Amino acid sequence: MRDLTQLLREWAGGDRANERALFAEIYPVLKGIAHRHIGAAGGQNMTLQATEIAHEGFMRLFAHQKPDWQTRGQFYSLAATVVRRVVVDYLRGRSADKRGAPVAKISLANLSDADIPAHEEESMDWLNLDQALDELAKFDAASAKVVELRYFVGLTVAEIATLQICSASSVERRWRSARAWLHLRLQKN
Amino acid sequence: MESMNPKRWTQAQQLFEQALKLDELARDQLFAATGDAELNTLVRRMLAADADVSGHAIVSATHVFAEKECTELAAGERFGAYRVIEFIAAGGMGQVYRAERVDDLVRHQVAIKLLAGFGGSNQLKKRFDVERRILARLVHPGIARFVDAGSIPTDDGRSHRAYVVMELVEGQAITRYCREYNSNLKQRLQLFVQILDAVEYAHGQLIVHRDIKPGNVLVDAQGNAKLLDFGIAKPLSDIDDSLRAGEHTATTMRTFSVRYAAPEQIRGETVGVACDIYALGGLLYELLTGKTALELDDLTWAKTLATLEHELPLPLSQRISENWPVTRRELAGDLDRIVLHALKKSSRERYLSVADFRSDVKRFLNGETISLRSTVVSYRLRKFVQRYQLPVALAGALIFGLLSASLLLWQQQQRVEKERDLAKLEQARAEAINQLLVDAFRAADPSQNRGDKVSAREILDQASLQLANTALDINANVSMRITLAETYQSLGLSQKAKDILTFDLQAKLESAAPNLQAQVWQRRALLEDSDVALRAQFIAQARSLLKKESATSAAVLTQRQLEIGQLSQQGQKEQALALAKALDQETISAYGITSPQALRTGLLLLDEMVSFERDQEVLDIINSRLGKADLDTLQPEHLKLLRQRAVLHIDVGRFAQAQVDVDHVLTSTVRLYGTEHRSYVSALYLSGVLLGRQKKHAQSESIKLEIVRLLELLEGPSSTTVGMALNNLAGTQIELNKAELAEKTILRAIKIAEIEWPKGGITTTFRHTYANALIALKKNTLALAELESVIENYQALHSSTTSAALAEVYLARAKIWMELGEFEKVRADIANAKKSLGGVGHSEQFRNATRDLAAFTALVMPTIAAQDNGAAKTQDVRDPSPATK
Repeated sequence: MRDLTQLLREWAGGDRANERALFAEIYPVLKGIAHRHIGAAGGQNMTLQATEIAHEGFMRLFAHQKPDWQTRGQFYSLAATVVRRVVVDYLRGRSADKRGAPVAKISLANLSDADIPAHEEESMDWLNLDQALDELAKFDAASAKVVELRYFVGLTVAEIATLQICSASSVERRWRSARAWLHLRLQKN
Repeated sequence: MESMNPKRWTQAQQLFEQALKLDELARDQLFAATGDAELNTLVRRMLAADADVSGHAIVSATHVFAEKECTELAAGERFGAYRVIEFIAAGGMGQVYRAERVDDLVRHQVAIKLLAGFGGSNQLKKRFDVERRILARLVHPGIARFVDAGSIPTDDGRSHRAYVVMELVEGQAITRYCREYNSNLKQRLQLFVQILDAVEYAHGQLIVHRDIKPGNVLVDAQGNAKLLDFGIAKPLSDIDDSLRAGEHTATTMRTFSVRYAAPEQIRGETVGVACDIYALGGLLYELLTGKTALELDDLTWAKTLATLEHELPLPLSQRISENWPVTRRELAGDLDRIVLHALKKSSRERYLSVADFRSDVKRFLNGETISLRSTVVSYRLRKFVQRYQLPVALAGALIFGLLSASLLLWQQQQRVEKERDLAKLEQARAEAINQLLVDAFRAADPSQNRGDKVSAREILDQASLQLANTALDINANVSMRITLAETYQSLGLSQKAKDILTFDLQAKLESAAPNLQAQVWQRRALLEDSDVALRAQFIAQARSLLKKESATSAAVLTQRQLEIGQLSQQGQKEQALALAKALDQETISAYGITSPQALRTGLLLLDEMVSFERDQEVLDIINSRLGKADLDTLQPEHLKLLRQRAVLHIDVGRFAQAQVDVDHVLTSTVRLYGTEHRSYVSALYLSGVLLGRQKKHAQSESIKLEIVRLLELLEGPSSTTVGMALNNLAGTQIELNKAELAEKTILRAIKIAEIEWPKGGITTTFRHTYANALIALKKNTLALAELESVIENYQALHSSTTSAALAEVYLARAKIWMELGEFEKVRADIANAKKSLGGVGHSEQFRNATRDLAAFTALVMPTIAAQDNGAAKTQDVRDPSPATK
């Protein structure tokens, strides 16, 4: 295998020329894991699956290396996009197989507000989220990335802040406004 | 939605952020100030959406579903057959109104819930036509009566809005009620029994609630509890499902609250009575502790799901805080059991019916014995083990060991079941052990500690501490100690292992079962590696206790292994080997070649074969054990075999085959132990050796750096093993011509070694490396002085292992003399080196030293001879003639 750490470092340093190479390294691995995971779970708990796909992919791709925290962060940053694509591809493939099968849902609530006894869950399907995220990225790519990292690799606000080298509060701001916008956008469907 | 551009979005974001910090009134002022109606609308809707998903707006005591964008009904407005009196509450997803029937003579008030729109579908009405009759039958004082349900077209006529009319209940959520009245345990339980009555009644009518939670249980001023929304969730979610399948709507709703939902409900499996029982368990948990059973705050959705699936609630008695009206003591024991039983992850393991649940709560209230056997702790333990099976394989061996101890006790318990009292005793013992372990695990549980990996050491120390404070009967106590000692030893903590087998045990040991006594002596023998006499004494003690045991019992097998080791140590290698072979054969025929027992005896056999150079035979044995092993699920014993095989391959230069084995060792070690573990260090070391032999020094260096880093982490920065790793690293750095770096590295090693053994073998070895670094740096004077002291120390230590090293030192010094043109001294040191190699050595170092000396001699002798006087010439050249390999 090529030196992933080096590729990631260049990629994170702004050199997008090797993005294709990186994708070629990472996509098949994540896809393999994804099919096993999603297949085994019958499409349930997709958010959990996505997170696990990313983690397992990381473990596998770096099994014989000792990546530092930066590499790890860079990997997750990229993996968020890859996992998103893997999951969406998978679901598209499946809905083509079984037309009318229930679409896997994820939740937009972050369940972080402690004192409220009742938590109502609003759910939506991944394919529409994928579309909505693309739209969001057109006018606010940074927030779209935050959302991607939250949903598709399960990073916390603090982790994202470390990764993007910005304050947790600014991540939280982006997250919250982007979430509200996505929520509206998906309701519209 | 309007099309968005970055500038517009930034405005929206800023307004949204500002508004979030303000209350309603201040928000209105803020919006008024912008003068941008379009922007205001967007942000207002974003705020509503935010409230939806983060739950801020859900403050009503009722459970609400409603169309998010429908306009509020004004007071006096007609709604079907009802007139709206006032708005009661709005949740993120809907609204509740107080209303009355228009045609009622008696003013009869009801609650109307306005629910979500359902497209143009007529299904809601149809569904409710069916359900309505069933729900209307549900008449119970503990259940808010269902009046009507249906749907009305929206204003634009394009979709429908669902509504449910219910009995109006004036009260507050049960948890708030209890807080306000500071209810005591009995009052809380009595309220809960009322709820159980109601749910039991409904289940009798074949209606499941599916969304029981504090917000759905109201208590009125008279102290009567009433359940809201009975049977509402099901028809709604059915419709939801059918709509989703048919029309592919993106916005669907979840008709239950995650916080109180059973795991199977989250998974989307069939929802039944068991879900309600789980939710009731959660409700009772919160009622009695003031806290939810599982901490789901600040978790991402993925983690929430994982928590619901795997995390077990702590016993209630451990969750209550100061000044709580219910005491720890009241909860410990029966109530812990009752509630945790209802909250079990698998629906089949919970109470089978609400009646069973209620009967236990009532028995508790009456001070009677509850139905549950005391299985809570072992259940928790079992779950813990399931959960930590893979990630903390470090603790895996430990947990497995502890578990087998518990299992053993459990089996004993099964056997004595006939005799009632004895059975009770055994059960109490097993439970006590379980409790001990559970407490220890809990103390080391990452989810409750510091979010770090669970450390086996922590678990052990906790368990040992608990052992001292727990009254166990002697057999349980001893078997615990054996397991703990074994685990301590496997972690390299011999002193701890010894302590636990001796502290406060001597006097009592004799009353334990002979088999257990024997195991204690065996373990102590295994721990006694320096005092041979003491070791022999322990082995003899164990033997005398094992007379009645069968020849293939575990303790006897261990005994035979010990005795073989003893023979071998006494120098009777042939006999030891013969016995090891016999033991291995017997074990294979008793347990099979793939059994863990046979693996162990195989390893013993290999140990015994070390002194005989029969590499092919060794390889055959290893291959026979590894042949059928699945390379993806290798166990620790397999790894030892793989390591040995790799070493054999390396020795004879079969590097490609060695690489395959080393790769398997690395992968499996990471899987079993993770990277921060001694075993991983050994695996890396092996890999480093392989690279070194292939002269891949650069890769070897990075591996050795990693070894140093890990050892510093695992054993502390000034442990001897770190020193050795630094010494290895320095050697490789010298090979790489990084002499300056090597000098720094080795000085660190020497500093460590000198603390404990200023003149010991290790320090001398390190100084030897240091001298090599000095030579590489051309600091000849310093190097000579260093070599001088190294020679002195090696001579003092004089043994077979130092002779090769001594030869190396002489050779190194000879090379310096050669550079300095001191030919007499060159000749003297060549002679010295030759003398050191006078004996017979098998080691690689010995062979290398011999070879290097020969090469050097061949190289320099002609020069020396040419410089020498003619007379002695011929003789001198012949004298230190090259030794052959």
